[in-house]
Amino acid sequence: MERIYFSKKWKRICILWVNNMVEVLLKDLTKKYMDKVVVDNINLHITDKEFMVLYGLAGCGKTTTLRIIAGLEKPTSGRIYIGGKDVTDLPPKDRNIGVVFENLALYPHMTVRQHLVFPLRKKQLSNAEINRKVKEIAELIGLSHRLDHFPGMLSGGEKQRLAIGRAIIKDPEVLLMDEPLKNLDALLRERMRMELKSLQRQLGLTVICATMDDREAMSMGDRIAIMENGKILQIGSADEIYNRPEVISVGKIIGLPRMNFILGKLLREQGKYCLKINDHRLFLHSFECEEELKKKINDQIIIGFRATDIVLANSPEVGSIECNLVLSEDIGGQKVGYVDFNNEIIRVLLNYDVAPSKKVWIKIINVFLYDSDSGKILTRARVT
Amino acid sequence: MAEIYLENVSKVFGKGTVAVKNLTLKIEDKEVIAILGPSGCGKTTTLRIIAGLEKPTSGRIYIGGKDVTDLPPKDRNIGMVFQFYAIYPGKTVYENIAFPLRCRGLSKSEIRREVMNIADYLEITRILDKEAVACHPSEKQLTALARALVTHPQALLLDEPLTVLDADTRELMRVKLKQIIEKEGITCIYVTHDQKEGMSLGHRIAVMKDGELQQVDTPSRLLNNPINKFVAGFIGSPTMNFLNGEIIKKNNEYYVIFSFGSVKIGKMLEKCEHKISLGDEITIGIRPRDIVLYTKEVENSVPGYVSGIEYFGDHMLIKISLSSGDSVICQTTPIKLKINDFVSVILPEEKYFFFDKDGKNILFKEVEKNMHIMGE
Repeated sequence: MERIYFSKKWKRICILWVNNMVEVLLKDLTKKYMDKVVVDNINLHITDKEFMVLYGLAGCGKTTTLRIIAGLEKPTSGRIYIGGKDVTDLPPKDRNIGVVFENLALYPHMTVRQHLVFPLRKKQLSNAEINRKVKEIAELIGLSHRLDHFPGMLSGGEKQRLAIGRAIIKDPEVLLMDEPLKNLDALLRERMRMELKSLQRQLGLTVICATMDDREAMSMGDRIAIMENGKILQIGSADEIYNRPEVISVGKIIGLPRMNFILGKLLREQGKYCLKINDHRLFLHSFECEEELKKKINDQIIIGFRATDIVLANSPEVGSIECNLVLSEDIGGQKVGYVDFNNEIIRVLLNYDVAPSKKVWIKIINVFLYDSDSGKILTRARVT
Repeated sequence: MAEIYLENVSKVFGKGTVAVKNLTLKIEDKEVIAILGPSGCGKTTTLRIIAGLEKPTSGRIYIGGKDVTDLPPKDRNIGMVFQFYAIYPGKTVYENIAFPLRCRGLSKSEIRREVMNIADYLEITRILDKEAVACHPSEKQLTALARALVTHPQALLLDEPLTVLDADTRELMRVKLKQIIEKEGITCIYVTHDQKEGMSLGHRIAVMKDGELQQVDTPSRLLNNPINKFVAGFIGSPTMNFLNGEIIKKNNEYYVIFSFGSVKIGKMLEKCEHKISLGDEITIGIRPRDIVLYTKEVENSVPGYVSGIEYFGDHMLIKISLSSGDSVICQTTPIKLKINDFVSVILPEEKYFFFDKDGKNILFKEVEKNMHIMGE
């Protein structure tokens, strides 16, 4: 990317070749269709060379957000900045963005080479230049030997790579991807995740990617923005989000098996904080912020814990709770049990064989405590 | 008794596209079998042949001991749920479920009783008066399931019923479906490309590829005893790592030599049923969770560097480029690592799977040692 500027030192106009920083800034972005708010006041800062994932279930507004960044939708209010420049009113073609759509949008009548040349047509490049670029990108996406093939002759993964190649051949500042792996079968998806990520790293691209799959989000994203109802609930690395879901809705959609939530009452007994779940008492220790807990004494709170936060036993132990196993399933090396806990189903990891409708004893060792009204996290804690 | 027996069933479409190749499969009464395979492997066609929606080019289909090959779908007494709900628009959930009964000319009160029964059973009574197309996807799929079950079919056929749902509803529905099928005790064929669903629901899994049946077995036997390289790579997540090697003879001992070492196979070779000889190419498979990762060099380890990291909270997948040029994926508990960090791995010999050049046959079946995967 060249930048023309007046140099005070040399007293003349200079051309500076910069590997410019591409950051994307979304400021108070809102999109309404009629009365329906699809994107609700989003503020998001995507730094240079970052792989940002927008993750949420269907209808959370992630695709609309991408379309707004690409310029395919106009925001109702708010601004979009790419590389420090306000692009809110620019048409898509002037935004220097590459897009990979969910269905890939390949042209069935065009060869791989034609696909790659297509975005370059308007760029007034010499033939030699075009050939050089096509060769370079084809090599990068591993399709050098397939240049004269039509999309129909390519495998799922190759089509995927072609769509990406076409999106990056004109050196976009930002690459947008809308569920790029959705149409691939499970095995290929697993492999492409890593490939996509290393391609991004290699090219130093700034990527914004929307997905509905939490494994994809966690594995590819440098940071993940979790969305629900047009709002961003939490932004952070996979590690941060997994280990501290700020709100219940985040905990519900991150990590497999999914987090369990049950109701309990926070009490203060014998100088300790204690969770009362039916007749059981769990004493808390080593929590992060006592202030939050203090305010909630004698209140109903929501207790979240993952399957990995539970120790399962086949005989009663101190502090363990007796439950019935409803169902167990074996999903490729991991045995997950579904346990009836006062009519709530909670997920546990089975480390030994139990038949359904047998008794098990569970001991919760780590909990996340949430406010029952706002759904916000109060603290993490360990249980004695 | 509703056992389903497919005998040498083949299906050829149009200009010789073979969708199903000489398939023989027996599904016991009350058994749940999952047909698993990548897209285009012929699993849906197989299901449609059983349902009677496609006529096989050759072969016979028996349901409950009766030859149904030439019967139309309606006379086969089978319930089917499709990938895309196939809900009648403009009808309520109740009417959708009642439809097959109405077609059979049942009286109003009988229809009502049957529909209420099944709705109660699937816990969808509260949505019975809702417009079916306006329901949540999972409710639509339950409606479709209720409609399939309301006629008390001999067998239930499910064609990727959860694919259209988002990941979360899919998990809930998978568990619900498993409960329903197990409670109902019905012969069931479940087609899916998602091995998690197949493993969870199926008593046995039939793995298909390119129209051919590869292996039918219990989930744990598929994991521990894959019949060929395809099954080994297809079943189990993350995918098995494959490395190429060659058979050599040194000091009267047979070895498999590969880029970073060798393994003695003398004993196994004696037991081996397949003919292999010196210089044969061989493929070694090892599952990511069997690879041991170290952040420093240890004895007998293979050095390499980290070229990819995937973090999943309770575990990590790490792609390691080995100094020998191969790369492997390794599964560990979360540790602090960066791209390009130095690591070394130990690939324990006792965890190897061996495949011949074409990946067709596993050369040495060493079942016992892989048992820990399933905790059996």
